[in-house]
Amino acid sequence: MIPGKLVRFLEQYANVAYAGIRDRDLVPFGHRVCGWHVGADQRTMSILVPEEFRERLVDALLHNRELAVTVEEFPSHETYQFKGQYLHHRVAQSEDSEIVERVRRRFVKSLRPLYPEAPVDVLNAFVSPPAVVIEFEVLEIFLQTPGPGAGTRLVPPIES
Amino acid sequence: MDVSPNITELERKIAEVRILQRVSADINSTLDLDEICDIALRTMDELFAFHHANILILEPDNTTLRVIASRGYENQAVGGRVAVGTGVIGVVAQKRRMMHVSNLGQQRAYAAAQRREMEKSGRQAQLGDTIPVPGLPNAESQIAIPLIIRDDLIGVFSIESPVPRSFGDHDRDLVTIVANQIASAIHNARLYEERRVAAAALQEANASLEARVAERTAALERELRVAQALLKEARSRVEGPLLGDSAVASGLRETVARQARAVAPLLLTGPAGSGKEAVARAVHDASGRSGAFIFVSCAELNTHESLFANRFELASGGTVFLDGVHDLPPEVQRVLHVTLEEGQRRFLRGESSVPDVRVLASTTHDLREPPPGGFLPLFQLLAANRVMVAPLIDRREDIPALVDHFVRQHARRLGKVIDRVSPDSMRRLEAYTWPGNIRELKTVLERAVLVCKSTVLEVEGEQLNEALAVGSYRLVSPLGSGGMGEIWLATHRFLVRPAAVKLIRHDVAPGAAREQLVRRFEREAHVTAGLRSPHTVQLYDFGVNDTGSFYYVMEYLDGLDLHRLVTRFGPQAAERVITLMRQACRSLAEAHERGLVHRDIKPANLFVTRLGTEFDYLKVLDFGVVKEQQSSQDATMLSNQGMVQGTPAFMPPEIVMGEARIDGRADLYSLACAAYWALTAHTIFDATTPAQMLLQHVQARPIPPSKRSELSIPRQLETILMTCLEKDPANRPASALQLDQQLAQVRCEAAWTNERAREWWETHAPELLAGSS
Amino acid sequence: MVTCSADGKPNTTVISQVYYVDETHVALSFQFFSKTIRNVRENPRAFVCVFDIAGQAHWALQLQFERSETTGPVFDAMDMQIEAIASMTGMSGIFKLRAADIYRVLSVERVQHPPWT
Repeated sequence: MIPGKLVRFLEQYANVAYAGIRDRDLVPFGHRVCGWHVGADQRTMSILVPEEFRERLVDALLHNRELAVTVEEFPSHETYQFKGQYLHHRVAQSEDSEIVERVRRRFVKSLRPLYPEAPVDVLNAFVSPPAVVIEFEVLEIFLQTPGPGAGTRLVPPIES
Repeated sequence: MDVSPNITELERKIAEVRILQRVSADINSTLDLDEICDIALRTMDELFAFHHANILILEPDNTTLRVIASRGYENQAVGGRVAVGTGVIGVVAQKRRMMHVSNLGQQRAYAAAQRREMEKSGRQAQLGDTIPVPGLPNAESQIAIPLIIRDDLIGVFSIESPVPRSFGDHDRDLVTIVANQIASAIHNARLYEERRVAAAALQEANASLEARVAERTAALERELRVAQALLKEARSRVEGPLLGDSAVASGLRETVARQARAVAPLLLTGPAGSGKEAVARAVHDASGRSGAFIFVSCAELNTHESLFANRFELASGGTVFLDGVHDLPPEVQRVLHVTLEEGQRRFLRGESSVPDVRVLASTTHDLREPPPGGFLPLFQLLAANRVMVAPLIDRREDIPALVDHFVRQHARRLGKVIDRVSPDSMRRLEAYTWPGNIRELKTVLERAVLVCKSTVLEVEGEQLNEALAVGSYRLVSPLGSGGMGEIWLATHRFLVRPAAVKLIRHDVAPGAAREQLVRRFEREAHVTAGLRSPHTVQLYDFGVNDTGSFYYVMEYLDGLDLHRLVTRFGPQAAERVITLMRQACRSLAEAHERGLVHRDIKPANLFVTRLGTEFDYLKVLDFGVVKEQQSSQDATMLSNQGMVQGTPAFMPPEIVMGEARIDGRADLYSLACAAYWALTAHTIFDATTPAQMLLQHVQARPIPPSKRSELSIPRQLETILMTCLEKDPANRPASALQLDQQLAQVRCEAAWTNERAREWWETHAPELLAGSS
Repeated sequence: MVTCSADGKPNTTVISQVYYVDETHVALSFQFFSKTIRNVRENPRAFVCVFDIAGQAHWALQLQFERSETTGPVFDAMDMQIEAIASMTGMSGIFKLRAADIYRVLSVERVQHPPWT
């Protein structure tokens, strides 16, 4: 379901992602996620979420299961949004930290040209350690790269 | 409580205020654009840690901005350009609003991403070029402020930083303050520059004006030279007086030989018409001097500057002949004396081998007593080397030789063949008293030759007696000569009253020049005859002489013209001047009403005479250059193209500039100049050349007469005069009548009554009171 | 930015700029019809997170959509910025500002990132 090209994007290029949810009153909320990972069947996706987001996120998902995750490669701004339904969650493990580590490295590398003087710790601090892993079924994928196509649904393709 | 951050903050604020105060003072202390920019940018240094700043100016095409000053860039940003509407600076200029951006890099990256997507999706056609803008290529923060003065965009002031969010609200306020200073200072600098350019343009216009006036005066001087050349030619035919075997004649020839190589000034004395000019000419010719012989009629000079600067200049290397040297104004006589003395001294000291100008002078006065108003030392100097040119009756034996010469001369000119003069006629010629001397002889013979029908010349008794007959009048003695003709005292055949007869000069060669002079003469007569004002010289008669000369007969006036009056007796009391001016106004009022403009009002043409029991009666003379207001056709035919008629010292600006429409107000200007002369004994402007004088009439403001006279001049009178001297005729009194009424309002310390006038004449010039005799 | 449709579906997107209006308002640019724009017109609540990299923190803003302006100082200022950037990148007029969406700020929270260890 998730095209191979996007899988590659997610695993090799994307370096920043945000997850959005809403509560029972339709009030939206969002937070940065520190890592992601595509399921083997390419129909699900997991996001790794830091501690400060855990409670609110899980609360909302348990209530309504709605999730929208946007993943971007900085600084090219190639961006995609993955919308889907919550499946389940678990506590983060050490192998999850490795994923986060890879993301962090990619992220810090992309920031370096902009902040050549910044201490590496400052940059590293942007990617927090994971606390919980949320798995969800990807139902729609949208192109969000700024440009004429932004907002176009890629998966499932739009019927003409 | 730790107060140190507050103190630091306070100190910082105080420092900022000080910096801003100083920049305000500094920036307003200069009008130089570069300095203004420098001050502004240095201030940026002091206020901000980051100091990338640009000042851009809107180009005259209003579509481009150009960097005129910059600070903090590695590569020179000055000269860089950006179009209005492009980039932060261009959009600020377009919308005339400030912009403060804190994350330019991010926004540009975002836009770049959009652009890539556009290209990837095949929409390149919609894209324009990426445009580089002057400034930091990696700018993150920027404040750009439009520089506006009174709704006009002058440029943009911009500061940048490579760090995002470098500038806060407070910084924005500081930059705004400095930007306003810059805008104001640039505006002032521009205004200053504009004014400087305008002043330069004005100077240029002045220079071109001066050139125009100089051109016109060159025309005037050309006319002068032409007239002098004609005179020169005419006078070259005066060798007559040196002919003959008499002791007088040979004495004259010896004099010429002796005086030719001499250097001292020479004074020629003798009655009118005796041939003094011929002798002077002969001396010049024999001297071998390379320069010209310049004839100066001293009665017509105004200032010593014009005497020396002009005539002496023209005579450089030659001879100057001062005819009637006793007529020079006293101060001119003084200056002449000093110059001659100095020249003599230098010659005696061996400093100069020969004076650059040889001075010859003539006078009809008897030197046993100095002429009235004459400067004694001058006459004493001149009299040291003097020669008397005897009247014709003292050299009767020369008459045959002279007759022979003149007859042949006239015959040649008139195309007649004359073998001889009849013995009877010769006897008559020899016996006659010749009050007019050689000149009279010449005239008589010319007439005789003209009417002669055979080869033998006859001169009848009546012809002799009537040779000087002009209509019903008989010429008695010459009174003087002017630019146009001679003036003689004459008597009517039957009536006792004297008259003044004006004749055209005989020695102007016939031809175009003479034709023109004749027409002018006719015009003057016609015009004057039509005028009835008692203050206009009365014309009794006019006509053509037998010899083809034009004449007109006017009332004879005993008195002084205003020029001589002031020359001899100095500045006149204001009340007297007012009285005289008012009379002139009445004369002019009539002329103007008939559409006539005198055009040559000057002191010499304002004659003060006695009429019956009225003293200080003023008459306006010489309507010779009159121009009819209505029909300019004739007038322009008479006055040559581009030639300026009139007298420089009294010429109104509109005549100087050759305006087509001249009206009576021109005469008012000249009359005011004459009044100025009468009140101060100065012309309204000082000048060393006619061109300078004319230029000042057009451009300069005259010094108020009260500042140039020791006599008191009522304020009212001065105001009236200055109004008459306005450059624009529209600002002068509207008419001579109005001027007369204004003058009537002036209150003087004491009135100028007939009694006072009579007293004055009895005291100062009793000889002129004799009246008609 | 996270918004939510009337039927409860959240939408997460990255935006380039949040514009300060005054102490209690911000503005977002409306350049083309997006899900976000549609969402806030159905459900006015919105969430925006602004990252301060140098400050090692982020700001979480709870917003409520108030109105959309097509004229006025806020619109003009946003338009100028958009145009300034667009003109430099050869994209004048392509993503022109259609409106300035004004949001009331309901709450602001600054969250400092813990130092990385």
